[in-house]
Amino acid sequence: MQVTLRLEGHLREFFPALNAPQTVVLDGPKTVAEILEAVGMPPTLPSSVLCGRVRVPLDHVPASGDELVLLSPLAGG
Amino acid sequence: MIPGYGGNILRVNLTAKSSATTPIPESWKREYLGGRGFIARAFWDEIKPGTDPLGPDNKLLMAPGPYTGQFLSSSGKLHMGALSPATGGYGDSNMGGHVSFELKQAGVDLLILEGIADTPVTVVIDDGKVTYRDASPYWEGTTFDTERRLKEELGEEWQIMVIGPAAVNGVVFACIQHDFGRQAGRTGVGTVMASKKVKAIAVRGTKDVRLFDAKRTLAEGEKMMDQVMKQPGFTAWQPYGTPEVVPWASSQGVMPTRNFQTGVIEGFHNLDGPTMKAKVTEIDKGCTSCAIPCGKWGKGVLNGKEKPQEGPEYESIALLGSNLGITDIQQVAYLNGTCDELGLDSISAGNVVAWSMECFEKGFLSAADLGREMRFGDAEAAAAMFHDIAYGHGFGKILGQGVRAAATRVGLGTERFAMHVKGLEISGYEARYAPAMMLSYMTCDIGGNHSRSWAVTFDVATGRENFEGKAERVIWLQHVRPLFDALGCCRFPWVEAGLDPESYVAFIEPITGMQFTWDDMLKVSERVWNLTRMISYRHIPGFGRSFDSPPPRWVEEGHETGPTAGKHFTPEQAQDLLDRYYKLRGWDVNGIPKAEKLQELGLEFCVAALCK
Repeated sequence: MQVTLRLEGHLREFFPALNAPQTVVLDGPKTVAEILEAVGMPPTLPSSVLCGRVRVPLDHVPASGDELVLLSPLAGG
Repeated sequence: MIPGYGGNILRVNLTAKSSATTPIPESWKREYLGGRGFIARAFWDEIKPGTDPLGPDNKLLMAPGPYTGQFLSSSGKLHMGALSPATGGYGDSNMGGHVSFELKQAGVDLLILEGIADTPVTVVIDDGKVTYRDASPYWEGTTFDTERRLKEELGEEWQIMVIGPAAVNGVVFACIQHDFGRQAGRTGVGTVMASKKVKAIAVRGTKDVRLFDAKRTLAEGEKMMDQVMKQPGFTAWQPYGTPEVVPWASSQGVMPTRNFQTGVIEGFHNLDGPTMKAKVTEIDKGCTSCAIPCGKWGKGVLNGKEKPQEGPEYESIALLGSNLGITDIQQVAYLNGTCDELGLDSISAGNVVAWSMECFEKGFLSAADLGREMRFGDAEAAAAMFHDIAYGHGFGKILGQGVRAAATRVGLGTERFAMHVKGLEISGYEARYAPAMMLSYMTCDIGGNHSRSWAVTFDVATGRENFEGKAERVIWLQHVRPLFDALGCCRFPWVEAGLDPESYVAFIEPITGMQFTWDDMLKVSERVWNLTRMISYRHIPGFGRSFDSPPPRWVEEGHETGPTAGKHFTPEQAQDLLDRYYKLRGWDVNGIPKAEKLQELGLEFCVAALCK
């Protein structure tokens, strides 16, 4: 199975290899946290993870073909 | 003449009730761009060493930027600066809303207020022509009442900036408010405005701003608006605004809680974006040309009493919520509305009241000293203390001089948990085990503020124990983030919606005709950064390395709970961070720019000050 990762904001600067949306091939169903660990990202780094534009927790298991959008934490003005 | 600007410096002398208009120097446009750049450059020329921050020789400076109001998203920022009564050094702050473009359309790129009026006035700027109105009848009025009154008297089309009772009564962290909830909050710019006996500034501008290539500017602006609104971050973030980050901040142990004693607040979900949207927010509110209106207008509630207000945004939630031990978003909104109507900077106000609560709970100050029991979690006590601060009653008068001054006066070791840098109260990030964020606060030119470099995500991404690359990242952010303040626009389309910051280069030629690369723009920011450092060096006796120290709490105590429990860096490690930073900056070991660095940046006029 495979999912697509799309990074937003500062996350793109920290993980330039994932700057453009990346397809990640998985050897079976994985949680969001496990997928992030697999690409070298601390699972607690994104402020929110969207799947199908809906916020999902780190223990969510996406379906094959899903796109995960990883939002960067934001700063106040 | 380089287009894209209002064209003029408007100098208003309040003592003489005179005004004069002179062209903004063309070289300033190339070397400083506008906004924060113009403020810093004018500060050097206009405000001399030895000036009393509240005396006639201090000047209140305000400047839009070349991008202000020019079709690109979120271009409504106005920058302002003065010698800070809170820190004694370079002070600045900025606000959104609509007054910045109005000022630019009035033909003004830099407004200089100097002298002191003999009686309270409202300064009226109508297309660059200055008149005065007697403000005596509403000198003591709240910000909301004053702005509403002037809107009724002058007309809805006028844009108004006002101060509240806190500024009038000499609180050193009083803000300037506009549009019923937008504040230039930091460093006491409102206090300086009050010292000049200016209650309000009303602006109307109807002039065209000539652009180098209006068609291209519009096309680039349309492209940016489209990009912003298609970003996934836009749809996820916009409904909630900055409170969206609350759960993340608490989960990472970086949310200041009970006077920065810890970084995790139990019940943080009661302060997050969805809760605020459900319980407080009634309508979204945005600034000039903004595609991502982050302002949230609604009501705060405390024990059945309601208070209309804008926000609270994250910083206010952190300082008026978790840092006071309060986890009811309606109460936090009520406190935010209280600060806004009184004209208090909610960051500094929350910080000093949290310090007073810790002093009370640890027995350093009694209820008799403070006028009431001050316990964490008690929103009624906090609201009452905000009134005492703003009106100079009881212990509020001491707190109104800032946490550094209050702790110095009380002594007894309370200085060790007075959370400030350079005398400015630290904002909404607990940074004792986040070296890049701690260094950001230590080296921020105005003191304990997050706006120049917000690096805590970098710490989480690259390892919180790791020092490598941290100083480099802080310097990069200190150049990129304030660049927006020079251009006169908001950072949020980059930081929040995810636009590439380098995409802002595309606007400089169509607006001004000037040719800039991204590196050229960063060089302007570096120039301004070194200039503001030299300003504080010139104004503060003994200024240097010791002013870049973190508060003792951050290098002496670990958190009891949370993901970084027990961890903190040592004072020696903090000094190591500074060594790395100064070396990269081209500064000496005392943190002062070297002559060759100043010359490299075109700041030759600062070199003589090194021999003071």
